[in-house]
Amino acid sequence: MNSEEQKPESNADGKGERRAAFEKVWKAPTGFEDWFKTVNNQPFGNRFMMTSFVFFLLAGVQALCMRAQLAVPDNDLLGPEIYNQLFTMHGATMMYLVILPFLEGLAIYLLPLILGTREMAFPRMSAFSYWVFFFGGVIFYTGYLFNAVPDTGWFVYPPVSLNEYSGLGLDFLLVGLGFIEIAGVGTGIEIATTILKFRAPGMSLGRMPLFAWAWLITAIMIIFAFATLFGATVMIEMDRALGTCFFRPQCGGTPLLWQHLFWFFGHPDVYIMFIPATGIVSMIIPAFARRPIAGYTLIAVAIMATGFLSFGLWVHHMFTTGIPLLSFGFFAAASLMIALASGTQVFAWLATLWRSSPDYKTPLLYVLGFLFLFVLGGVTGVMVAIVPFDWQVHDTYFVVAHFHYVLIGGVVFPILAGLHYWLPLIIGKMPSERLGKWSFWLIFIGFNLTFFPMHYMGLKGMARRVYTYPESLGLGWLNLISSASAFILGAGFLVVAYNVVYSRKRGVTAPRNPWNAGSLEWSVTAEMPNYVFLAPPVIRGREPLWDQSDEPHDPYLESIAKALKNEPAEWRAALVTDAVTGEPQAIQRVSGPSYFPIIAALGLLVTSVATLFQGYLVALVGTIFTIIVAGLWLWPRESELELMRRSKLPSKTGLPVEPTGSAAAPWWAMVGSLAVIGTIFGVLLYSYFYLRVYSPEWPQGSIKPPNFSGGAHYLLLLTSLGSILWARRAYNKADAASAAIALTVTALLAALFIAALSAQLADAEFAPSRNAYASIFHVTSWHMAALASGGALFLITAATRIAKHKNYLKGYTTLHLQITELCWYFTCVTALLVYLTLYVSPYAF
Amino acid sequence: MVQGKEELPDRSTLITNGKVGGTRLIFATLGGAACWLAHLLLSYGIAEMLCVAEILREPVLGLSGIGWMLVMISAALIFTALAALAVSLRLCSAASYAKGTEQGSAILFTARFGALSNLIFVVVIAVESIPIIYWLKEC
Amino acid sequence: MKETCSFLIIFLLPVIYAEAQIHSESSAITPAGYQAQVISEIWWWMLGISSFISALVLLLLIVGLKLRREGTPRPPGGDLWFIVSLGLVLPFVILTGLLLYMLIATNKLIPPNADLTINVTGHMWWWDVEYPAEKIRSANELYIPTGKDIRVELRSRDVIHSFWVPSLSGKTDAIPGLVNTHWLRAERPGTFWGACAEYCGLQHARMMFYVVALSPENYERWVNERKRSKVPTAAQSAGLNAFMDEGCSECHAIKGTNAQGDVGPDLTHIGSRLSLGSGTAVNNYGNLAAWIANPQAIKPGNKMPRAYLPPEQLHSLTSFLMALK
Repeated sequence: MNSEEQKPESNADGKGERRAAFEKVWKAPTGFEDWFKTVNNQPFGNRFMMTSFVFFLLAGVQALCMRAQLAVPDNDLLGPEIYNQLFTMHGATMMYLVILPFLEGLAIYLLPLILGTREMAFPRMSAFSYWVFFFGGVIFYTGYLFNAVPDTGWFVYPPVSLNEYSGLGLDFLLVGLGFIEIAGVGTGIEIATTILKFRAPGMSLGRMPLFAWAWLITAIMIIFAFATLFGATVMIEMDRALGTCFFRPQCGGTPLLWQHLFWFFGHPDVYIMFIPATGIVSMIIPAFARRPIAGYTLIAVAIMATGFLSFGLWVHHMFTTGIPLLSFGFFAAASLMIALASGTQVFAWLATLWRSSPDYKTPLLYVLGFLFLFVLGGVTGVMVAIVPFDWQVHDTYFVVAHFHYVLIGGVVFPILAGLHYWLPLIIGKMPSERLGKWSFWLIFIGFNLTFFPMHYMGLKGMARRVYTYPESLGLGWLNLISSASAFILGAGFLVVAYNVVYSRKRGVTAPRNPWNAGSLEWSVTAEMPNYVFLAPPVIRGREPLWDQSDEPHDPYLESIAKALKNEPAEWRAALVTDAVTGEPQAIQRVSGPSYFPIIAALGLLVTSVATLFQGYLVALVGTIFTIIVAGLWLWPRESELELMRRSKLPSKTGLPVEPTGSAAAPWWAMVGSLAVIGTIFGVLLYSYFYLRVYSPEWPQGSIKPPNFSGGAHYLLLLTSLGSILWARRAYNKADAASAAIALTVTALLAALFIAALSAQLADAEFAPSRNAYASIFHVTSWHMAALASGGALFLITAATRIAKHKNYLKGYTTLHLQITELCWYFTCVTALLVYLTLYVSPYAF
Repeated sequence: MVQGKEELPDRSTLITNGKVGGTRLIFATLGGAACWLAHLLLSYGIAEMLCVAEILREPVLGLSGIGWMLVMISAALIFTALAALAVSLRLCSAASYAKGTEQGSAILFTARFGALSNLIFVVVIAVESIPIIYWLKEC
Repeated sequence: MKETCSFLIIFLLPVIYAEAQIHSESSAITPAGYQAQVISEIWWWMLGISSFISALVLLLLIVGLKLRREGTPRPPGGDLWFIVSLGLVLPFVILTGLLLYMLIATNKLIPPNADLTINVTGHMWWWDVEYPAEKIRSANELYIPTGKDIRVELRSRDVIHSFWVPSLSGKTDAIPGLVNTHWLRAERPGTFWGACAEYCGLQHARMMFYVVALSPENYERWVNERKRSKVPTAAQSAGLNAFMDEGCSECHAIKGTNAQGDVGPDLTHIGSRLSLGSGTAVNNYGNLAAWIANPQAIKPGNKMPRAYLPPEQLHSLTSFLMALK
């Protein structure tokens, strides 16, 4: 993106110099550096979207192959092996590599524009997430090179997915999936922090565009859902590679545990895809209706309610497993109630469109298509929430119809709407209306003809994931229609792709704000610089670009905005605001171009591939390398700190340049990371009790439960609470030396804990693969050791920093201590819970 | 110097003068949702762990131990969610006095948001309790 | 001549088998079982309500878009009332009503007592069927009396399967390590198609079965016929010998002989079985011979190896098995 428009002002007051310095600091790298060093949101938003589109084409081809095989009964075009691989890869690709990455890419691109800020909160995390996603996707597909392609279905149910019944292909999927999960939680933490803290001055929660509301909720959901999946993925990979027994019935595990963990992720996952889609719709409709969205507060509440409720529905995927009805009852009730939230949004959109006489351009067509199709998908969703009805249609083509209606109708249609709507902002050209309308009708008609018949097929007995079906079911004609229409649908998507390419080359140049929308992203054009806004825009209403002349001016906010015009000019920074009110709180440094993200991603790649091929030594080296790179990445540069400390901005604006506490982005990063780790421990402790409840005896297999003193090292660890409190006391009294010593003592206690824990595990009578009790005991302990190690690293680095900066015990030094305290208190609480679970609960009941 | 900063009243008054504390705001906004989440997870935990483990099954005054636990949890959480609703409604009226200021309107929005959210979640907890009550005898 | 015939049988019949079919019913919406009837009623109500809601939304959309813009557009009643009444209150009433209907209906689906218990165990990719009280063992088909509550106890030997007969009732999973109870009650006689409904590996699509509902008198007759012990005749002994020599007894059991294999389906009544390969092919002489000679051609990937038998032995083996009714 080149800088344009405003020339630097005259040198008379030095402003021209400041502007030039500002441009220099924000300059985007070019060439090789642009590929691997850039961290800006715009290239990475684009990369996510383009890469996910490639995966979309692959998954689409897979679907067409499947439909070709199913076109006639008893077909032998593709045998069962190939077909089973196809449906697995189609599902996994769409769910992990297409929908969410595309939406994330759009979010990363648009959020700074919509929120009125310069960058995402953690630009290097955007880069890292992309590379990790990219490598993950590549690993998914590398199996094809080795003729090892997974064929267990994308939900990977054990026992079919254990190594007794499935081969190396699934390991490629699971390792690749680990990458996707890391990319996911990274993006989630980043997006949540950006939306909460990095907004334009005056953009209170009540003035935030609904796209941002949607992503705020989604990002928080991603953190909890993907963390759960990460825990579960690790457990199942261990069952396969190390012979542990979490899901293996023969040695005390249970396949149902996987289903609970997977669906605790899986159900929120579909809302993680749906909610951003509603965010897109809530931006497009007001522009076309030429009025503000109706029921803004109701929609915001509905989004939040959907986010919460989605975590309480998961057992509706397990209605046929034989769990007692009492459990099913409230899950069915919650599954029905979530429709209230969706219903509210649908009618809010209808209200906005009422009597609005919109211009029927392509984005609106896709939105209208979405409204109709989503309602159809939603009503079948209500049907399958009814337990006995689900007993008939679960795992049949009825459900396949339902989820394609809500995923294609409810998510892909909004994505296509958003693509056509924001294309002018991304490539600077208007999409072709003719091609747009062609694509819409091909997709709409192709989609309905493909998937509507499937409702009937399911009711007539056609189960899911079947490579063929008997003639006697009488479904030959319907399947043929469905298969033929799938090609029409595919053609529609090709027209979309062609439209993008064609418009880029030969499209009409887009004017500023071609849709006359009211939201902030339209105040710039595709020519925008990579810092987007020279000065933060002051927000006085919900639709900043529409007439705000009767909204009151706020001189304070305007003066802050003025002070930040092309400032800071020596380092990249964005304004931090209060989460609720949009009041300026701090000036937060954001990172510039760096190679660390790709290097760290490569380190992770080496580690994972080595693990995949059981080269554990290489994996260990890779892990250490990645940790070192992460450390270098996080460690701030002294030269930059010096620049920041010399800045005049704090005295000019009253805002700190070295924020601490909840005004600092890194603080939120730590909170987000602890949420992830806490969820993983939640997975482990839940699994412990679940396995126990389903075991006739506990511990299993005549293992003696550890006695209280066996957990003495945990109690030792808890004493470190004293030393960290001592460190804080000393720090508050500006006694750097004592603080550093106290932190070092804490770290030593952590080291002792890890040593004692390792010794206990190495010495244990039972190997992890002995039975499920052994597995969960060992694996939980390993996680505890890992957490303590991470905490120890923070403790040591904090001690070092305090000792080094003994004369500057504020700003980032304080922040480092705060982050370390968060981490360590969390570690101690977790240690207590783990202790109570592993060492006390066998005796308690 | 920043224009007119000295003349304005302390912009953080509304948040920190005790009228609208951080905790109270969070309770008013997220209280109902948190109660619902607790209701669902606890009901699930009890139904799964205790019902399957077959403990606390002896009937006491017509209901098993598990049954009583479920009833009490439903009642306690509906009550807490109603409390969150009440707090958010109070906050609405308090904040509407400060509607003119930037902070006031922001808090008012948050309070209204909280009120709506808490109302919805009270209803959902109540509806969820219906099947629990209906199938209580199972355990 | 015989060799050529057998050759033709072995290699061409897999093509021909597809033509012959067993006439069976399979539909959740034209039910024959009590549970399926209750569920089908729920279905029709839900279809009606869903059509109403979808039509309402479509209507509002069309009307709202067709009406011309006047001043500041607002829906009838204003934003708040429109959204709350249609988006919150109306769905709430419908959904709560549905919930109550669900609670009442679900209770009807679980009978208090079982008139008959059948143990069904899922294997990759066939169903073992055992009548514990009557001591009958079979595979891939259940015979039940009409009008009685049948309790099916579901188990699995390997991975998760799911037992589903759409015309009679919903499905229940067969999970290794657990025993799940499934209820059936056929309201009229007929042959009903069933399938495994949980992906269980390569041949999940070919793990079908049949439930044959007979009037109580016919059912009794069926049971007695099965219970009658059958001693192999001299003519059959050649076939039995072929059975034992070829190693079939390693995997299969035949009551009254030394064959007690537990890995594959019980063959005591194979002659009267409706299908082969768990619903893959119709059971007749030709298909059975083809199956024995090369099961992989009919159901690739299944666990049964080929039998390299000279045509005469194949003939006597097949005849022997077809006679085991």
